[in-house]
Amino acid sequence: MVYIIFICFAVPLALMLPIIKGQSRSLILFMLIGAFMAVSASEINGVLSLLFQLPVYDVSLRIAPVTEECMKALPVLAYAFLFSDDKKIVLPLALSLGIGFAILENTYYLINSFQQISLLWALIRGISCSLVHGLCTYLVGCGILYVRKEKRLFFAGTFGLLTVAITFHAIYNLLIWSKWNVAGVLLPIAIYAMILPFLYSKKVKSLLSRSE
Amino acid sequence: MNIFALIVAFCAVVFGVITVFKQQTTLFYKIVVFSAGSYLLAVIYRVLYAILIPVPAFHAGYLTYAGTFLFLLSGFFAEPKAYLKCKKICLKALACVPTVIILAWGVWNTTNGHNLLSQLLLIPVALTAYYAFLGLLIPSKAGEYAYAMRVYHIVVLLFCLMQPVMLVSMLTREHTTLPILFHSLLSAATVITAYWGCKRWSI
Repeated sequence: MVYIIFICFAVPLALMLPIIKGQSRSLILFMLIGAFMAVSASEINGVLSLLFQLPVYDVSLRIAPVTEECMKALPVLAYAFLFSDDKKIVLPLALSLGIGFAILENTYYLINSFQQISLLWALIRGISCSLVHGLCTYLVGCGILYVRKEKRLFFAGTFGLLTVAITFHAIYNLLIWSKWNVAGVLLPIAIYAMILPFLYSKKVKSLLSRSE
Repeated sequence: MNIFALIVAFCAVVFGVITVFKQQTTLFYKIVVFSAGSYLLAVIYRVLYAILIPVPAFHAGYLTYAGTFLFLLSGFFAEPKAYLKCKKICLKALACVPTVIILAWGVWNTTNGHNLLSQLLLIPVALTAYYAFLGLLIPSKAGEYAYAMRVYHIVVLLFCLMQPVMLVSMLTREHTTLPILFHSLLSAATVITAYWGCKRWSI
């Protein structure tokens, strides 16, 4: 099923790629890569679940955050290491990758449990899940730009960043699967609400300094 | 005690964030603040896991503790690299003592039936302990980096030596009070002493 969803999602976007140019093309490409990573992560989770004989609940708590965050971080790491460490390029791409991943994951859940879900479920899941994936990849992107400066710093710092992203994701999964699922939904929204004014104040400051 | 650890970790992060934004700080200090943030996340996860899941098991929170030490380790590479410039083999050999102690502790824990993966996470702790102890051994004069950071190195070394104890108490959920108390206080102390050391060094 996950492959069918991926094909339905990827083919139109892939056909668009030769037509569009510049930053838009990179954004779409990273969204596609994000969806591909979601498919890969779901396969790896499935294999590990069989290997360790774990139920879905345990896979979601213990394995999924690790595999998903590692898979999402790989393309961002590769891009930052091989092509560019420009903040203005890497961060939107990281966010785009996270969103691509979230879209595919949400669609998969939607089709798998079609009978039980409602419009409200779709809205809540759309907001919280996309924010978690987007924020985690954005965080890794932000950190990579700092730690890329030195080779030794890069390895230790990158693994450090990955562990932070994994734990944030794991906290979300832990809350979502528990009786405190409302807190799980509110957690990424609260963090997003905290980050947004900070980013905007930075943008306003840079605009003001330019006009001066 | 868990609440105490949460409050201490939160206060350390708030202090770190305020000092980072208040004035121009070095990359080293930013990394130390990030390690405090990582520690806060680990404490949050550990507390939530203990509340929501009754059975103790290896979970993502352990990875974040390793992340805290990875940040502290990368902090050593961000600074003027006094550790990397050290050519004295005898000092380097002596600096391996805490590393060997931590790794031996990990091996002993594994032979006692503790999770191997959780003990592998002691590797970044052992590496951090090496650089912290090397920082203490390097001969330095007033005004130099290693001299200004002496207290920070002591705190990081103690923090590293505390980690195996904390790991065992987390895995067994037994005798948790004292390890949590010291561990959280040492984590907060890394930020404060790093800030203090940076100030002294820049003077």
